[in-house]
Amino acid sequence: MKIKVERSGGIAAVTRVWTVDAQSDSDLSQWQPLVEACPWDSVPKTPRAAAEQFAEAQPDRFIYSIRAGQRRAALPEQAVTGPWRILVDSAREAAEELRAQERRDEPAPG
Amino acid sequence: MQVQFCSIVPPYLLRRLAQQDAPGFSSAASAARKALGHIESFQAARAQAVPVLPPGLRQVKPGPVDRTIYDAGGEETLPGRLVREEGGRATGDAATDEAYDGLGHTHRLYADAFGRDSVDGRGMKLDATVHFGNLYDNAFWNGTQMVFGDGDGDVFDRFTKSLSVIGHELAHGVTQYSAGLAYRNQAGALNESMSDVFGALVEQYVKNQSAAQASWLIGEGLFTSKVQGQALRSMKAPGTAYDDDVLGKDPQPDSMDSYVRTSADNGGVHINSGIPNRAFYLVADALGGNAWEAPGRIWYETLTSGSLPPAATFTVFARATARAAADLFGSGSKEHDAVTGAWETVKVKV
Repeated sequence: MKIKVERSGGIAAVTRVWTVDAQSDSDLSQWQPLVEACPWDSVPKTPRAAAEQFAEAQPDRFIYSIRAGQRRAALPEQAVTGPWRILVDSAREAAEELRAQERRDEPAPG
Repeated sequence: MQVQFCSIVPPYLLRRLAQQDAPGFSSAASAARKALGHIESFQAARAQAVPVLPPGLRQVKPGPVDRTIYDAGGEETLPGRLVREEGGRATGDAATDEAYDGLGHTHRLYADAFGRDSVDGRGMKLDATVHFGNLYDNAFWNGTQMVFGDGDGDVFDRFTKSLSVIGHELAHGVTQYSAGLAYRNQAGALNESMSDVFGALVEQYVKNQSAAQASWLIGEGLFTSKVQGQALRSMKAPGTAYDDDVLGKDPQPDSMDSYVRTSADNGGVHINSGIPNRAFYLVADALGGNAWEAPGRIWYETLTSGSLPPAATFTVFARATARAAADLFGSGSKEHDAVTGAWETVKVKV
């Protein structure tokens, strides 16, 4: 299962993407509960739908677009709470750790 | 006997001019007071009610700024712990002191250049929270206060480091209390552009820079040294602020030819703001001098006159700026020409 968190907006308006590829049994046993805990059916699925539902947008807040397997959700930053927050923070941490690992593993220049 | 009276300068403008006590306006102010004396006697003769001024036009001499800074201590609960009040000494914490100073500079620009008393025009307290969140790479206005993160230390430094960012956030409050531009699509891009315009003007005002001397950059100094980029945005040359292998390239268009249709970022509000940003820069460049004077007044008048709808498009806004320029300076003025010329250059139909 691929988990992808895309964060757009913010005053800098730089889109950041964090991806986790949960393939092994141990990966799935770690990520499945986090994904299942989120109420995917109760929230908008696209940024456009999120913008319509959460009409009182605060300027310069982030907008999150979250995918896990076939599921989709889009939420303004203020609504990324509870299980959504845990999923997003975990995905971000895992992706950044992976990137740091890749940089460490890069062959030394020479 | 019915007296026909028509003032070439609308009464509401005369009233504003009459109350100006900023330097450089004294002869205009006294002329306006004289003209008002004439109008008021005619109006008394007509026994007509004086029209009520829209909220943005009520002129009260701005009072002193009233700032409070809070520290969220790396958490996300607002406002956080009180760390500096108005008149309090510098704390030595960079984010706290930068926020305090930045709020003061922004308040001063609005008071001195536009006669506006704080964000709401009525002397509202200015509150800011610093050290919000953990490695939080953002700043925002939440409807009642400003909030600043410390950056992630990787791409972004702390967000109070840039005066244009502080001004940008407060300007969202000013927009909220005036035109209330919706935060989506073109209206949202105009909302964003207003914040960039007034954010840039705060920096220029504090540094006493002319339009020619100014950098026209938003968020200069926020990126760490790892990033290939000068700033978050360039008003002078949208699309050139950064080009980095991690962040990508600055996506802003500089004219309607490259307008971006997207559902991300509330319909690209931070992206398409490049177009009205550039228009403002072009007006300032054409007129020379200090951009907070004629260009700033035209934009401020447009924002606060009460005639800009929340769902304004670029075209509606462009027309409103042209009207404001004509009202303030005359329809044959170089100011009006600079405005229409700027919109033509960025290809927004007026």
